[in-house]
Amino acid sequence: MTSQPHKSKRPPIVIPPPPVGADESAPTPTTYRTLPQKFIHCPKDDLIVIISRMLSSLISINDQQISSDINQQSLTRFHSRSPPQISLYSYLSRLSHYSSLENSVLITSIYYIDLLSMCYPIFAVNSLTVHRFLLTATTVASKALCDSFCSNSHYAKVGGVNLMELNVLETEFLNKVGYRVVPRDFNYDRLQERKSSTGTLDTDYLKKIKLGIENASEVLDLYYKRMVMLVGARDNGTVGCHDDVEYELAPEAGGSEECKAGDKTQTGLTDAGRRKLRKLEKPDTNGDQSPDK
Amino acid sequence: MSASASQFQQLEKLGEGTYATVFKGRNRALGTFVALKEINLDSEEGTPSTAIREISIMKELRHENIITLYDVIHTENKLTLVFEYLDKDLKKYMDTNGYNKSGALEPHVVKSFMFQLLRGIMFCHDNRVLHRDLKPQNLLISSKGELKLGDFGLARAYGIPVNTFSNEVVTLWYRAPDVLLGSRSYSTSIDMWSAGCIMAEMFTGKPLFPGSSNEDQLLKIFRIMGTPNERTWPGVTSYPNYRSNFNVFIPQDLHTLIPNMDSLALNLLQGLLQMRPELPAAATI
Repeated sequence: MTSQPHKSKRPPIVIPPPPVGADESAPTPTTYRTLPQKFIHCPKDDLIVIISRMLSSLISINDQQISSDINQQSLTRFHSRSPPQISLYSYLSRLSHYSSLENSVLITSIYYIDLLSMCYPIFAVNSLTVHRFLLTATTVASKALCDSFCSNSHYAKVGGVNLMELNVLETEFLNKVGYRVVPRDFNYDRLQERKSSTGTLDTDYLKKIKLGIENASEVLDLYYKRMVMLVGARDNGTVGCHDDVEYELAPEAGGSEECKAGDKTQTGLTDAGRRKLRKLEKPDTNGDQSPDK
Repeated sequence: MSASASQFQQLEKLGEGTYATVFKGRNRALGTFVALKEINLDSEEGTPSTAIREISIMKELRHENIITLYDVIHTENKLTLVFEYLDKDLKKYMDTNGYNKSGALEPHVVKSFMFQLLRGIMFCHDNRVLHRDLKPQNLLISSKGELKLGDFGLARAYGIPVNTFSNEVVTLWYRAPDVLLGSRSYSTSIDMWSAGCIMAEMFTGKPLFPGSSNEDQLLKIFRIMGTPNERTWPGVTSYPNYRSNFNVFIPQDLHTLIPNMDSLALNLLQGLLQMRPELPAAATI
């Protein structure tokens, strides 16, 4: 099921044009759209656009690593022989429509990129892995978090893979993340590790951060808000839908510093923004989740 | 995930559920007992949702009143969950330890079990987890008199907002009135209702509301708690399964039904058995 595209020239990857410059050449006027603060209220179509933009950005970064160092060791079960023909946006829309994915499932799938990358460092989302990853992540999230979900044979049919392969992918995913699929702030896991090795810990910091699965909803809201801030601007690539729309979050009723800070960075999302993108993926390390050393 | 099936010697069958069979097992190296929950994998559904939920939630909940999940063993067509072993469930405990073979437990035993049950529930709710299937069969009792919550196959992390909330939850006899009336926006109160039913059952040895269908279950509850109306429960008439021609009963005195409760126990039971979902006592100690 996983093939070996080793040594082949870098596959023809459809990457959105680089953010810089896309703006000036844009022929259509920008449409501005405001999104709600809470992901549960976000219209599904807009959420899928945001997620597709986010994934495209990640892929454009991670694809730069593919060509040089593909070998047996960097291959995962999520790899395709070549990038599937269907665009990311169309694929995600298809999964969402035919498998009735809820907003929480869609955002959890993005959270799962971080989770899987942490537990399984050779994994990275790129144009070869993103389709199988999304299918597996949405399948697992639906079964773990929702009361209504479908059979794997349904998910496999919608996702365009063989049932046996989806079962293997699901098992692979669950084993790699140790079945800990309820969203949590896993930085806390590392804090605990640090505590045991050095014996000291910044207790003030520990009090400030939120811990464990009781904050699943806050973790997902944070992912949602960060995504809107990072890729809401229209210069974040073309995904094939709403490419002329610039998204921003509705002003927060209560007002938290975190959100205000994000509002400012949203406008100048160029190189600095791209660095931030990588930070989002690995909040606690130096920000590189690519498969190379 | 380092354990392998050969580490454990399979002993007698302890129980059989809809999706799993539980065996007693012995750790060959340590000689200690474990409970082995074997789940058959069906290719159509992949890893069962119940297994994913149970494992993912129990891995996050470490508490002395919640069964510990030690390990997960995945083989070709079977998933085995390795749990800590406790002697019996509360149902069997009542059958063997109840006085005069009635199944009823001594008040001081009920007090200890209720304290532990509520501590376990409080821990779940603090972690925003609903158990959704509390009943005597799912509470395990050790030889030292410890009580632990088990079987998290129907549990869910309720902090995550989703649009679909099933009302096919909780075994009928322990199911809260709002769920029976068709609510899909229930919360922690459904576990508290179950705790109330279990408490009464420990005192009398008999299930409090042994209904035979959704409809019959509601009537059994109304017969004792009184039939709700807009005055006693504002909004009750808008539930999907509400009918204006429910038989009208007046509330009965719980103390006459369960005479061996002291006033503290009665207070607790009344706090737990609140028909209106916003009213039950929270599990705080």
